[in-house]
Amino acid sequence: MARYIIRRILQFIPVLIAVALFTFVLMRAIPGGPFDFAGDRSLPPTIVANLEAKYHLDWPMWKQFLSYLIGDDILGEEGGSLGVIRGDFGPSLHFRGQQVSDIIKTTLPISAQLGFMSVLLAVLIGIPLGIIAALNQNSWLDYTSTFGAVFFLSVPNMVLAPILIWIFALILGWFPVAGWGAKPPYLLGFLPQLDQLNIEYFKNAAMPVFALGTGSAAIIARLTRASLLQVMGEDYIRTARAKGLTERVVIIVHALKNSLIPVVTILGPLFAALVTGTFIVEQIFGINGMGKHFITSVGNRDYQVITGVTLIYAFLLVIANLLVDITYAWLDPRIRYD
Amino acid sequence: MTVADLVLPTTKEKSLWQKSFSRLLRNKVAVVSGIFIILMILIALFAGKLTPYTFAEQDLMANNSIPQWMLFLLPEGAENYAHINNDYILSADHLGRDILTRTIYGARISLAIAFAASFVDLLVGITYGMISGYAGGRVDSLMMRVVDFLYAFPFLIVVILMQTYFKAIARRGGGEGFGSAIINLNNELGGMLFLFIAIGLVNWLGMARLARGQVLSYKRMEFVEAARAIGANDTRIMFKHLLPNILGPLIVSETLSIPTWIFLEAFLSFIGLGVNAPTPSWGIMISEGVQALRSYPNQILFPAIALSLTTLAFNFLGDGLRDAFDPRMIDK
Repeated sequence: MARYIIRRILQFIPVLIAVALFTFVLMRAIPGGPFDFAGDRSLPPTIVANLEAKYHLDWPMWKQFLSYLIGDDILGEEGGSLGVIRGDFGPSLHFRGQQVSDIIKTTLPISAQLGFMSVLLAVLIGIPLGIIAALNQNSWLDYTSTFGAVFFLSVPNMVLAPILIWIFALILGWFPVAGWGAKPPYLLGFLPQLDQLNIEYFKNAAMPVFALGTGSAAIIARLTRASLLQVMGEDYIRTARAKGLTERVVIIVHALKNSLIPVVTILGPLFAALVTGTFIVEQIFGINGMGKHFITSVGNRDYQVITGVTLIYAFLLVIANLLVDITYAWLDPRIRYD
Repeated sequence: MTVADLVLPTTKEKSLWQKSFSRLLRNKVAVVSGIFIILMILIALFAGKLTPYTFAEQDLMANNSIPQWMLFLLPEGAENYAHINNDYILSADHLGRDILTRTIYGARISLAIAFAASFVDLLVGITYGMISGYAGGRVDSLMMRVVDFLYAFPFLIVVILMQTYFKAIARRGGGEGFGSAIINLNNELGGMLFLFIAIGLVNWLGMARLARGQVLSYKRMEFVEAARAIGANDTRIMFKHLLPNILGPLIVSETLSIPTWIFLEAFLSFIGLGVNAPTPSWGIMISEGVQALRSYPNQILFPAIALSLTTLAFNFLGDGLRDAFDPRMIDK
């Protein structure tokens, strides 16, 4: 197992380098630079040249990339870049004077809190709903929850979020329209401070978490239902019943664990869908998370922020996939990695 | 089954496709969804003939106007600012463009993306997967290594980056040669061409894996052996004998991923990386609707309903197709 994990981690390195290279080259191939305009006025060419020299944009591409990746001192060049490998993603080109790593440090925790609560909601709603539907197959409970799942699968969060705001914030006034309760510095780097963890925090979080989590809950519910139905038809379930075990023990001890294996495999793609969701949900609810910042940077052509945030996303997705594979092996002893 | 039935088969044996199709017709939700989708396709095709307005036509006297029957949707105190105009039956947006017309044209974009992305996905994915599965050995493992490698890419972000790049290139426009011909065609299509390319290019991986698996399970079968015995070459075996057998499950899986393409287009348009203004897309209209939500919640309603109903219909139809074509369901 340990060897498998190490080998997988080694496989990720070329993927991450390829993502970095792809992003880096594409962003610099875009016509028009980040210093074309200051506000509405175009900058004089000498100032542009100076700025480009300051940010090393006049270097050949391969050298810029290496400087970005491993840092200037290893290259033997003048310049302050420590490189991505030491956690330095360079300065933001649009927000002058800000470091990309600082931007990530303040915005990623918010997205992480939002994402974590959404996953929690999805699992807490999805799995019980799937189990109820499967155990009452072809009853009204089954039909209702199956239909509900398809419905929430089909209503995208860009529709759900404004409708929630309209009904629960604008008409009923139960929840605030926008914003996020926690502010930096964060506990352990990503959790909200305990004194910020009040009713206001959860009121702020309720609608975005719901808008982001229901789609995933629907996917989990459908999968749990299908998989539990399949497991309940297996021979060993019949054996367990024949031994005289109660139905509760048969389901909880024998059926449930095996039926959750396919559910675990979907968590990787689900995580990716959640990332997309944060772009939209953070935009609509005015939450200052990494998704919103990424979209803003795409508009601003802030290469450094785009490349840095892309790398963080790629890293997180790769880690998520690894965790899924490990959980998979743990749940199903027939799978052995060597 | 009586003895007479066994001796004298009264009906001709139906083909697998016919059986699946009749199973599909018994699924009422799927049939209704199918009819809805056909209706949407017709609306998209005849978009220009259905309303007296065009999608870009601005009536600045009517901006943010609302018809009488929708007034109940507005918040309290709306009588102070609401501008009633019954010419636009689903109201007009902040530039005085008819929302009904724009929603109808939005169907054109969504469905075009859905079908074009599916087509590219099937074409590239099946070709790649079939070659890999049929060739086997080293070629197979190399081709699958490439797929595994690309799978680890965060494809959504790749699409965002590619669209950023494409849009910047398209903005520059002009020039001569092949590149500019493509750019001009893209601008002509309201920015759809690059959207097809970006979405299609990165999404064939799953299809390639599926097609490969299907080929692997069929290529050792007797009918392939028989075809080879009578002298069919590899190309003929692949496209004449294997393809018809593996196509069913692949098309079903593609139908189930159509909502993903529709969401992706809406998502890209929402964040401003989709089609070019003033071409309407449901994603752009929803994004504009969010801006106007506080004073004019009526504006977001119809693009939102259209987007949700279309994906709902594709999901129901896809589920129905999967149930109908599932080999485990046969003879039930």
